[in-house]
Amino acid sequence: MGKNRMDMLQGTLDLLVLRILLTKSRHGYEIAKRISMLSSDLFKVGQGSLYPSLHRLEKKGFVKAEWGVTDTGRKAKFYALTDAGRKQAEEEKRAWLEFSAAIDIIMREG
Amino acid sequence: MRFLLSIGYALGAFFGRGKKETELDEEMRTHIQLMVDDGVARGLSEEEARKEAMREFGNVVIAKEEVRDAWGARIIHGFWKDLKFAWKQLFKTKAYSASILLILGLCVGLNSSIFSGIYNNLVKPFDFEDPETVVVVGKSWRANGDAVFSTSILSFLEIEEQQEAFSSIGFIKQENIDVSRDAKPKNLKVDYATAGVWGVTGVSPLIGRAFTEEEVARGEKVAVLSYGFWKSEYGGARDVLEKTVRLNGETFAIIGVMPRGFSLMFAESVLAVPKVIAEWEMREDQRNNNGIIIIARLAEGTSLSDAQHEMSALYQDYLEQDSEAKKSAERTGENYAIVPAADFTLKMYPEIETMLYGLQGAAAMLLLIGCFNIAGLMLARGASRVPEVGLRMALGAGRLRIAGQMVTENSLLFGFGLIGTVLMTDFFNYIFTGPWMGPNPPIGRTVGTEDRVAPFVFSALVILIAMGFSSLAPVFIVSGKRVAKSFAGGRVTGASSGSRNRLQSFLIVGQISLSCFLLICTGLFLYNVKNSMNKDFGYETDGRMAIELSLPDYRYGYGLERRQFQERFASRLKEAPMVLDAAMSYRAPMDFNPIMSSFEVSGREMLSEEDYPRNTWYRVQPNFHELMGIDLVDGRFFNDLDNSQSESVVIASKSLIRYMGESPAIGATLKFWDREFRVVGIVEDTRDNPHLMEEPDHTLFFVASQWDQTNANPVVMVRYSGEQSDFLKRLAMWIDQNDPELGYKFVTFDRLLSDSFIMERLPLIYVSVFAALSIILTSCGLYGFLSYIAEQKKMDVGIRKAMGASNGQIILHMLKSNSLKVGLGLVLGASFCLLISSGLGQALKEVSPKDPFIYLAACSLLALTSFVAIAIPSVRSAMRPAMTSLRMD
Repeated sequence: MGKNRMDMLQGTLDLLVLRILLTKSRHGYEIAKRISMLSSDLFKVGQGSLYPSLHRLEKKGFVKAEWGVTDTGRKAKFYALTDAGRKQAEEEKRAWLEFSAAIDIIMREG
Repeated sequence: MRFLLSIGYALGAFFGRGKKETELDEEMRTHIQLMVDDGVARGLSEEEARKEAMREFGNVVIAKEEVRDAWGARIIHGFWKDLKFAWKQLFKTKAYSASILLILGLCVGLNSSIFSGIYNNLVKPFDFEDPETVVVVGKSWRANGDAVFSTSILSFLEIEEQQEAFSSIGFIKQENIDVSRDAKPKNLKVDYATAGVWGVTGVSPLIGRAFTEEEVARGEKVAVLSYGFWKSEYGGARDVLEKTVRLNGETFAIIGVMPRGFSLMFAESVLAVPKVIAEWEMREDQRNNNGIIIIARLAEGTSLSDAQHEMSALYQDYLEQDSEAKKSAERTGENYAIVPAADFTLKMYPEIETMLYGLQGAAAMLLLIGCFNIAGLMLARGASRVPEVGLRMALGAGRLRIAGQMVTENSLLFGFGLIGTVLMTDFFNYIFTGPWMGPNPPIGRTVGTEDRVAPFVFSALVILIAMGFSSLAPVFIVSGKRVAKSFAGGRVTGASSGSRNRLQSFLIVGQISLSCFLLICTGLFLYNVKNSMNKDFGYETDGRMAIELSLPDYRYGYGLERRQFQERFASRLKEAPMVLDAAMSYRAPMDFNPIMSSFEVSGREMLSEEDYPRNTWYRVQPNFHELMGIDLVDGRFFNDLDNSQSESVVIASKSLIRYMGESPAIGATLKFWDREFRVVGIVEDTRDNPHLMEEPDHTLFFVASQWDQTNANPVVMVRYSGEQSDFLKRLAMWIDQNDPELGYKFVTFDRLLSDSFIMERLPLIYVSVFAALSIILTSCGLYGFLSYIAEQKKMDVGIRKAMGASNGQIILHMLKSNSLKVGLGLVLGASFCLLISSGLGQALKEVSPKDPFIYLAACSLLALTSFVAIAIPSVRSAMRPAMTSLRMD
């Protein structure tokens, strides 16, 4: 039971990262800030746990990383979606919406 | 695809680990610094901002570990560590590693070499397209079972004209002729073929083209080279088509080169040239001049039996026109017959099949000995590692993790073993295709690397399974309950120990019995050949040899002109240095291609097939018998008065007397090849056929000058004085000076004997190699195995010594317990041999398969070797001081 929840959370984080990167390439801290901001600080995950997700996505070929310079002039690693990542993001987004809509219906009607 | 991508990423992360780690450090540092920058911008102090950032980021070490997991390099890293450990182990236990590598190399190398050799040389001798539809057409006789023999050109022409069962048909006539590129000619095998054979084989030349029917009809001098000849004589040059080859002094243009491994006939030739059919070869009296092999491809929709029916019908048509032949055929069952090309060799030489199974069995036994050996060594080593495994398991290592490490260790060993195996395979191939294997069939075709793959993989897999099972033993021996016991002294007692001892005994007994069996078989084969070769041949072989002449029609003519040349040559030869006498003959004794015939006795009613003896025959000059030292039993030898003008006479061997009827043999008239000959002499039986042919030694001798067709291979028998090697050199010089154009080949009796005993010699070489290896394997295996057991029992030895046992008592105890196992192995091996002795008896004609001397000698040799292998570790163990033995590592 615990393992399933972990898997789901892990998968969800990957989905969120993909969604955030859909608009433009970002570095790790920017992604973490964006998640926090968009969820109105609802998702308070340890920012360090973002990196396994990013490296996992890179290994799968969904994102690619490049060193760049931040607005404040610091050297950081920027992540951008690959074509496969973009496709994956769209697919996961659609699947999530269907899934949450179904849960929503059950919650309301059930 | 995604999986491969992940593997690639993991490997990249593993090999570029340093860079990856540095980048990860920098990336996380930047992240935290950006958080700090934000905090400072919000008005926090640098220190407060950093504290907050560190809190929100979480544990950096854990985050990094998780990232490393995500890279997937951790498994590779674990494997790498195991590999490094295995590498160290390999050198730490040098004797053990060397034993395993040796066993692997010998067993897999020998097996792959043997199996691929057997498959290529005997099972799949023809490399044709769709070989299952290619057949050999020839003559058969009831007495010869399924064998199909060569036929005549006249028969071929009739079959070719009337047949409908084949889509293509052609024939090959193999001859030894003078072949040269530009240097001195060599007497080599050449295929004279019709253009039809290329259609039958369906194989296209590697370079150039094959000859056409038009070229054959025009008698054009063109040649298609074999791959081997192209490589050896022309260095594999691509411009070979612009070059020529000289055959019997004539220049032939090279028009093609056949692919590697291709051969028209079972015995590989160096090249193929068009066969121009001469007028005389189409004469009716040449119908039984059998010397060609017809090959044909079955037409689509035609089965083997359809084709056989058609051939039988064709032969019946011929018999209807010849009442004499019909009468003879009714008696002998002579007919046209077909046999699939793939089965041709086995049908021709059924003895090969026995040899084949024997060799496969011996090779499999050696593989089994190897497996026993490896299993024994690994179990013994496994037992010595029980404390180590127990300790690691007690410290929390999972069984899977330890098993993984064991697998890695053995994979490394196996990998190294395979490298050695490839070298060993080449070594054994060299042994089995070397000049000592003889130039004649059945072995002689080269084996390509690709043909060795399947047997190599099979043998390696068998060994791998044995390794797998035995190497994991310590992991299973140390069950959870015995962990503590296992590393407290390395002695697991109880049921597990008992079953392990039984397994060890089984392995020792097993390999001893298999080795014993192989050794006895070798002894039997060895004595069989020795006794066969020591038999009285009925003629002298010392100081005698044959010279095979190569006399092409275009230069030496045909018939009388040709024979006169041979007679002149034999007469001139008597003046050559060291030559005492020379006599023309048309075959050398034990010639590999004997032509068997039959005869009738005038005035005697020949009722059944048994009344017709199958005999071999010579056409000789009158001094032949005297030269060969053949004893006269009755009547007289030939003399100079027996010539073309006088009455036709014959000398028969003694065994033929019983076919002559009641009247005296001398003076009887024999009807042979539609001619009548009067018997003037009876001589002792002589060994005339190759040993592998189970034909009785019935021989007829005719006067060569009383025959006019003399197209057979001319041979001159020579008696000489002095050393053979010296004689050969001087004779070669003399011939080259007197007739530089003459093509000839010296055939010594050593060579004739060697070829004649090919069916005994080949298995002997194979089985001897097997037996020698089995002794090496068994003694090495026993030594290694018992060394480990002695090491394992050093505590026992230490305690015994501490209790007052002498070195002698300890050695005796160890010898006694292991000698019993060796003894049991010897009894089992010898019993198995006795059990199958009737089967062995079929292959052994000159020795009893139950010969007690051979059994005793084989068992003694093995017992002695085993004794040494057991004694060394026993003595070493006993000589060790008690305190050293009792010390815990």
